[in-house]
Amino acid sequence: MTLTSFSFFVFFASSVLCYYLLPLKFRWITLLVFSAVFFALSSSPFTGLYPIICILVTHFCSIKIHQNSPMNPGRARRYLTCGIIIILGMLAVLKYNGFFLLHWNVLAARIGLKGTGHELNWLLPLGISYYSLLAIGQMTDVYRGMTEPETNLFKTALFIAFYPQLTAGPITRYGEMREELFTGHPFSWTNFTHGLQRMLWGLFKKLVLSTRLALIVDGVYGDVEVYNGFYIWIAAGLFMLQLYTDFSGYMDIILGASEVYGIKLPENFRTPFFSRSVQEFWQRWHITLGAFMRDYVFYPLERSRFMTHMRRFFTKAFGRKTAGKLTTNLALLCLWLLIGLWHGGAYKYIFGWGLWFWLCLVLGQAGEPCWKKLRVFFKVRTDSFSWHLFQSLRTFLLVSIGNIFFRTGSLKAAFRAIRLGLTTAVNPWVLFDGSYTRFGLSEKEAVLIAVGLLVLLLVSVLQRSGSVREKIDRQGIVFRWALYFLLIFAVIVFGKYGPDYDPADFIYRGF
Amino acid sequence: MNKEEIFTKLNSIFRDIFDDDTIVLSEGTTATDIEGWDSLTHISLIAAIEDEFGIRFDMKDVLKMKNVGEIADRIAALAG
Amino acid sequence: MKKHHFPLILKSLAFLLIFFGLLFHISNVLRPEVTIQGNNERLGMLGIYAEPKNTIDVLYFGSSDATAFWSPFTAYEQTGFTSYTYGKSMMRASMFEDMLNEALKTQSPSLVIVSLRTILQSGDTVEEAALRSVTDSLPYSTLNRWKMIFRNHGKIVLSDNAIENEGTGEPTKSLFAEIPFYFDIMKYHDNWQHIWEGSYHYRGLGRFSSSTKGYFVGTGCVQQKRDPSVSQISKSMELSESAENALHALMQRADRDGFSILFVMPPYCESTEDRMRFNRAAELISEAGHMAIDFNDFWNEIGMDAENDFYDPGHANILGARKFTAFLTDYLSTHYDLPDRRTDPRYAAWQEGLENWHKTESDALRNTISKRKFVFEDDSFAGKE
Repeated sequence: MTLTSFSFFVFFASSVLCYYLLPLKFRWITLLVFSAVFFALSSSPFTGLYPIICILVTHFCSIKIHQNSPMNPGRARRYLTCGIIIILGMLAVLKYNGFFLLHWNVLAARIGLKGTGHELNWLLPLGISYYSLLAIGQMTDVYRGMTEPETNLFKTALFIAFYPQLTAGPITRYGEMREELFTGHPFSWTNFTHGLQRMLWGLFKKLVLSTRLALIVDGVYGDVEVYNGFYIWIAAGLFMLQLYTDFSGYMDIILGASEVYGIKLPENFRTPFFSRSVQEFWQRWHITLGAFMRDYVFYPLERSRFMTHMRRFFTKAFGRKTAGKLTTNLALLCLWLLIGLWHGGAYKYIFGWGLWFWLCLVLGQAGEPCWKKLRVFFKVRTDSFSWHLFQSLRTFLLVSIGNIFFRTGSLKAAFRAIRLGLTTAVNPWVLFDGSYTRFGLSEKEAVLIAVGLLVLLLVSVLQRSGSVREKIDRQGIVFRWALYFLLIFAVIVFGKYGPDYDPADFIYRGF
Repeated sequence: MNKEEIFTKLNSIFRDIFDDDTIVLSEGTTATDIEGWDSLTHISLIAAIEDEFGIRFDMKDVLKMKNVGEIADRIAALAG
Repeated sequence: MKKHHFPLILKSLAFLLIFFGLLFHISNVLRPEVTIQGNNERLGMLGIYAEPKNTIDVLYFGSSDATAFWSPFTAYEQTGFTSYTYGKSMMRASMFEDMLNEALKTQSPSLVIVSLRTILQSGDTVEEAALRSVTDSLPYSTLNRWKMIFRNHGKIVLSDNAIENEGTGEPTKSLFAEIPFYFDIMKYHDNWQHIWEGSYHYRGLGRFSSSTKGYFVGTGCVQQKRDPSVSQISKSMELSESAENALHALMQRADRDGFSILFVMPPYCESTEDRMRFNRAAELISEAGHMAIDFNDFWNEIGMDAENDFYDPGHANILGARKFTAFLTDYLSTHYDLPDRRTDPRYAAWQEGLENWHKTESDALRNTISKRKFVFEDDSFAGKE
């Protein structure tokens, strides 16, 4: 069951009804039951085993860690390690076995071993990349003394498997979700309407914009030999927008749906395209993943014994500041390779994508004296709008280039696309000669995309100064309702969904 | 060690790490007040403080300390 | 319920009301425009709402085997009773009852003539295109539309499936696959790129009358071959459950409301199977005290001509329709008590419509005859159209 299907809306409506019909105390149970139903409806029953293992491990280890931590920290640590190994092991076997086996087979052939391993074609369980992180986060938080463990197994279950966030995040922390999930929220008209409005906006982004942008992007990357030069860069930019409208649209549906229950989930996007540096971009894009990686990977890594020794060594050689930078960048390299790996077991994610962002960060930092000279030379006023615009566009470009690796089939294909983009003559005329029709878009749809993106820009600008929904709330009812109906019917009419309709398929052959 | 000494030491560490001689710390100084104090430099800062005072924060402190006042309090508690 | 909830509930209801109002309106505009040989069947069907209440004496009702054979103005000119050809091509047995109810909402004819062929041919499943042909033309505001879709629950063979299996695919079991039938905007929303000024014509009911009173003017001409021995067959063949149900339902409605009902097979190149089905249907109908006539038995009396009077094997062109209508009108005027409205001032609109009809008719005749000549000169084209 995808969150944009009609069946989801039936499911959602019935869950909301049950939720508010039950007394406050039992409302979290409704969510747990519906989460189980959601999982059963969207996944093969067998894969239900993994979240159950995950829940049991998290619950048991958290309690054990908490019991042992004051008296016997070594034992607590062992429970933590054990829990994390089980969770990561499950993830590694299910998600990355193909990737590992590939290397094992190559290695085995080198050293003359006979017989090769076969890839396990098990179903990748729904949401495992996300709930594994939730589980690791909870156990680690208990270990660090940041939060108490949950004593009710079913509450742990709901935290791990809360259905809106199950498939795509946001990656939450137990400490901040406990109140939200389990207290039970009284019905609030504001939450109800705001939630629905947000879901609607998400649907608009996903169904109207993302699916149409995908047509162009798929067309170009489907045949980069034909669509070379300028097409590559246009498609890279459009893919960035496609990814944003798709992912943030999905988040809007998830956060909106949760809001209808009165539950506030953490934001995952904060107008990322206004970022003025790649580093800032990652603080505004997939925020909860970045924060998770910072708190549970980057900090522990930097504070590991190895890194501490390294820092002391560098301090003696280069001084405190440089030593800090060196170790930080080393930790960042590990972090980015890991973020790449998390997105998928393929080199295009690890080396193309992860490494690219690391390079952007490091070169941005290392080249600062040089950039400064250039700024002085060009008499740039760093507080001017044009400079900020330049910075945002530059960030957009850098991130779009990284996403070429994300989009193409392999590391090799990505380099080929970039090569073709750089070596073929740039022909901006493709923007004006109706080339979009080659990708199955009509002229009217091209106009629709343009208008849709302008609306998106307008909304993003408004978001910079606070909640757009609150701004709309302050308007009169006629304006508000007109706006709602406009958006509802924009989704219904312009959205890509439902049975395909081809005007030709209704011309009947005889009666 | 009293609060004043801690703040003096901290001030020189901050000036060194963030390359800015105009920094003057107060209890309420947070990351937003100092250019360059972000999640990446946070650990270098913490490490420098640890070396300077000869202490070790635990991860909970690292994550929860949001302003200079809190850092100073923890230092006072740990350094005794 | 607490008191402060009341305005919110009222507000929600108002919101939903506006939503559905807009939804139905926009759906209507987005439905695709289908014209065949210059006939807009959807307008032909919706035109019945433009007829003043209770002014139709005879309702000629059925699928395309009805709409291509009965020309109301021809009958009116001849003996003066008013009639309307109500139906839609591809209308299957399971849709007849609700469609009749729909027509009877605004009209109370003293005679309903039901064209049998498509009812008898109907199986127990319904192809997507057949159901859509009818329900996607009916206004959202009529309950009969919703009933019709609901009645066909579990019987719908989706288009993709039907095409893959050459029309014999299994019906869908998924309720969600049926939702786009209730809300056809789910199917047609992509049509926003093709709408034009004319798409807005369907907004209101009763705005557009049919200039042919629902008759589908066939203007092609393709030679047919007829086997006269089919009329001699006396064997019969079982009907599908839905065909039998439809016959019973139509007769029950006639008995209840006290109007006459006559079942007919139009004259065409009838197949052996069709004849055997008719024989079975005729038994059922006479058991219930009603009458069924196969006009293939009167081929020569009507003066039908297989070479010139059809635009495809099952459908008469204007030449054939004129002959059949004239013959049946004679039959009706001798067997039923039907009024003459030609001098009635309340039916002045029919007199005006008649003049208009003459123009349409002569154009259609010219058109058809020119095609007939073409076919005669180059026989290799026959049957390929």
